[in-house]
Amino acid sequence: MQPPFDAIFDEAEHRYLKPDELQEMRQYVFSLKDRVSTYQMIRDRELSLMQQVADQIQYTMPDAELAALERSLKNAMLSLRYCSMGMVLNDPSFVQNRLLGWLSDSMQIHNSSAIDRAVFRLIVQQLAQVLTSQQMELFQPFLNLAQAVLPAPVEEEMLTVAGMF
Amino acid sequence: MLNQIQRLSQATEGRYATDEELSFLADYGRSFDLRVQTYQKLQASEALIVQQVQAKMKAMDATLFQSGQEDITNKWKRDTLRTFRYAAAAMLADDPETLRERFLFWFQTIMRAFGAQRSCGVTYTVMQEVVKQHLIPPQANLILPILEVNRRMLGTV
Amino acid sequence: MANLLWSGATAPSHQTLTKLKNPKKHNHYGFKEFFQFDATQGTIVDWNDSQNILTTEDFIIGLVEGLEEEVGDASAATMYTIGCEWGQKDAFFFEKWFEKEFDRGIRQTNLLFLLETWWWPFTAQGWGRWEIDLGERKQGFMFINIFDSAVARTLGDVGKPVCYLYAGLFAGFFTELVRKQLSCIEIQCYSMGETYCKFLLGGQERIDAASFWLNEGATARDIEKRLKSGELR
Repeated sequence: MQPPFDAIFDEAEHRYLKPDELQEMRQYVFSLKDRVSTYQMIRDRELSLMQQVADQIQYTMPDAELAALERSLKNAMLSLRYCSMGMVLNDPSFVQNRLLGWLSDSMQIHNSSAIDRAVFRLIVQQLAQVLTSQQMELFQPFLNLAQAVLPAPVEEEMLTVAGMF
Repeated sequence: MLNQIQRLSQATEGRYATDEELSFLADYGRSFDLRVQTYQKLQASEALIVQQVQAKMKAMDATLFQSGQEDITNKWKRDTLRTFRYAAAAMLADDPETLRERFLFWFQTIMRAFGAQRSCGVTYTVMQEVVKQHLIPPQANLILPILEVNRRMLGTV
Repeated sequence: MANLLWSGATAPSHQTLTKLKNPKKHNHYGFKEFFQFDATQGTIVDWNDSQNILTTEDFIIGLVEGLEEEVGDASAATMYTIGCEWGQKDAFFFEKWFEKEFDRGIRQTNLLFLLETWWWPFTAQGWGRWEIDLGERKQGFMFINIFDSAVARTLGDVGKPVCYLYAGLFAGFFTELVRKQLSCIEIQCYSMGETYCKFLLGGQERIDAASFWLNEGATARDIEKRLKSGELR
């Protein structure tokens, strides 16, 4: 779906917006209250949420390199910020253009898929405790955009005699 | 809104927005129904409004529709209708800045190229009067400032 | 020995939704409308299918100072020459896209409208806004004012004119347009403390006269007055 306000000027000189286009706008405008309050909730809880995630990841991945953990956590925090703004604007392309491009590159370069996935899982868990189900429903599609660029876990094939030489 | 949204997303790059920075969204939400109402009223009355503006202007000064020997009434109608629709869009979006950026800055140079500033000045002055007769005051208060932006940008030398 | 097949890059083409929906739209100068940003290709293609790059003021400074370091005083003439070649090529480029967009030849078009249409993409690209004064065209010369010259604004007040690129651009473009040999000189510059830049465009004689008067310390206003009264030396 094109971001709600972009279409208003596109054909302005040729025609007015059709009733269904206006209806689509109305839907978005009236959803703004919930979007903004969800955003504010995520914002206000960011610190405690990330602290929980940081504590838990160190517990579940004690052997992980500290620098890698830090990077993963920072990226996750940024993802939260961009995804939540994307949700307010109801604009997936915002998340795509501002975040996903460099995020997926960064994750691939640093080969941190295991940590990233674990951090992401923990964030979702924490969010579920902080947001109402309605708020989660609003935010989930945008969070999923970030999740989609997490590199696939590297499968280690079990070596058998057949694969020896 | 487009412009404000752009500024919001740029200003808050990498961080969260404050409640104050988000407040324009709620303001817009409150004004939305009135804007749609006004938009649809303008849509329904546009032909009549343009016609009435043309009649008033002709009565004031018929030469406003002459460029040398050429009768530019049709050109005026096309340009006026186009500008009117852009104004309605800008009112709906609460975004005179985007109106300027996507239309008025460029159109101003064209009007200057054709020496049409006087005609534009009169057009958007008269249009404000005519529009007031078609809308109730709360509706008029949304569109008149935009028409004034048009007048200032297109109608001053 | 392997044969390398090189498929040349295809010419860039502006394909935003706006243009696809409405290719003849004339007001297409909003930032996101005029420029198509393609992050995967790393290209910026404008409405007229020309490729663009974004540069900072550092680039302009580097260009100007680097050139000065290389060729010293000849840098002004070099920039002017570059501008001329650019203007000439741009005239052909412009003719093509104008005729495509307006279904009309450039020579059958209202001159002022034509010129505004030529310059507007430059404004959109950040070269500055302009004002043309064709009042003396019957005498064979004209003035062009530039507001927010990218070069002058970047270099700031350095006490001498700096917009040689612009002067060359105008000379090259208008020479091609009117099919007469024209030159151009900047007679007033933001980089000399003025609020805008002023250019004189005309035949070599007049440009030489203006250059002479400038060297003698004449102001733009003096030069304008002398030219309008028919002086040539």
